Amino acid sequence: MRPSSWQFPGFAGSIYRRAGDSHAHNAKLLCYKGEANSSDLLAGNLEFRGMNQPSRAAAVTPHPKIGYSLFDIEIHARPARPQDIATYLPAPYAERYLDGFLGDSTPNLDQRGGNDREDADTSDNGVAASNPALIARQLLAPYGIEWAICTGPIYNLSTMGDTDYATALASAFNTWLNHDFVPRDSRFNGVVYVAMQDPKAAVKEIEKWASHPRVSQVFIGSAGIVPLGHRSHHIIYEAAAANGLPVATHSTMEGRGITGTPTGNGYCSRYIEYHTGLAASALTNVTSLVCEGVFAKIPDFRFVLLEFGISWAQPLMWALDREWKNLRSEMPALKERPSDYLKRQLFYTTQPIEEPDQTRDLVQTYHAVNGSSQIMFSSDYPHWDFDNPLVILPGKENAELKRRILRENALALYGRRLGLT
Amino acid sequence: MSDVAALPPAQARKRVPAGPADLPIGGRRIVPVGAYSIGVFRLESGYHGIVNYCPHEGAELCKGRLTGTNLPTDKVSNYEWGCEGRILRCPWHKWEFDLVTGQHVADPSFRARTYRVIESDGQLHIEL
Repeated sequence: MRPSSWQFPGFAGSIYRRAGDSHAHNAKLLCYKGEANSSDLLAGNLEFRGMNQPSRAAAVTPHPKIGYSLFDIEIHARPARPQDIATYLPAPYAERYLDGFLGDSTPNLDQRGGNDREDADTSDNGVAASNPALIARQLLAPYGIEWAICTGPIYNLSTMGDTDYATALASAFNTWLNHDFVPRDSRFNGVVYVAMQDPKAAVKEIEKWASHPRVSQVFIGSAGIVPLGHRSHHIIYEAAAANGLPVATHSTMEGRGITGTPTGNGYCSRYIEYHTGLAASALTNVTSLVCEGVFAKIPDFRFVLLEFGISWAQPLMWALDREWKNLRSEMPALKERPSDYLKRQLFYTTQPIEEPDQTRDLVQTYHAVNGSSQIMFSSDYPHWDFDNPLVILPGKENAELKRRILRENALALYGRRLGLT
Repeated sequence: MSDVAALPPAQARKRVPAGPADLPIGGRRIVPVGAYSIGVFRLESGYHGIVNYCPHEGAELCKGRLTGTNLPTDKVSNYEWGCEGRILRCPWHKWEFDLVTGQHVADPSFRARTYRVIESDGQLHIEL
């Protein structure tokens, strides 16, 4: 879960200053191994020298209780300092960013104790998940994680009223994540952030990063000004599919900035209402993607839901299939049952895993949504609702399903593009 | 004659040393015991031990914060803070445990194992 007050830990208040920092346009820009100069990075002239690594084999010891290495598709890597991002912003935006303007207001819902797990290793600089060595020590090594996708810290781009600022932030975070952070550990992979308000700029950003060997997918927020299936977004999905990139969306942008209210029915009072109700947002977006014909129109489009739960998808499929039989003529582009598209093109992540009294009830739901190919493990490190891969899905009878979820399904979706299979 | 020797062998519980009895109120010490570890906490009521393993997903429970909670109530919008200093909150999913009984506050079907901690001659021992 993201903090509902949208601040990096380094931002203590609305104004951020640190002794010795200078503004980005005066600063000596940080470049990964000096392989590109600052003007190249700001202009988007990236060459990924040194990034073609045919062998990505890392020394990973599987956890003895699991017996194989894992693929974690969600680590919330963060910049250690705001300067790390400001470096890649044009001067006016850099100043704005360093002044602490990170986007939209929040829906004013928060919970006790913050949103990071309280034992997150912050022993170096106080910012959890900002140091690859500490992520490796607390997460990758103990659980035997061989590959991970760093989904990073920012998913409110599509909730910002200032489209140009959102687009500039997308670009800056992409450079920081894929150029500076990901190369620091051979197990890491990156994403391409886009701001959905400007679809043409989003396509340009996707094409800019498409040849990067460690970029795994396009990353979008879960809420904007229209449901995700709206036709204005289709060129973004087409660009992603044409470049072999799935599109992932992350929950908890509902109610922020220029989006609607935190729930479809208005404002709620408590974090628990908001957090539980996020499934309704997923349901709306998936229905929109189906009924606006995105899955049918773009057969290579793959859509990944991060932190939305899974079990709601089973009754959604029942309902959509029934409605399709009744109302097919409203959406003649659909040649198959809605559930057929979803069982092939929609992917889910485990975290936060649902916890019925009986594990078999969860397993039944997983099979109903074709979970043996569509569900992937996500740790959500360093957030508070981290799930322990040693504990989830117990039982010998679930061993094969668990192996697919912890490793094989993500390898099948991302492995070819990332050169892992 | 020690307490242990006074008990019949079948009932004798093993004791492991848990360091000096110098913890401040609210203080804690995590003591390795075989493959696991046990947290020793000092509350107003004395020393208490609890397993350093959350029964939910296995987080190190004793690294969580020691706090209070909103007490159960029959009235909506009635927030009465209580149990200050005896609620141990897991560092991962924020499950609240009563440190004295080990009961999960929301769902009593979950319990973290608790241990008696004995203080003698300025030293602490955990009774397993």
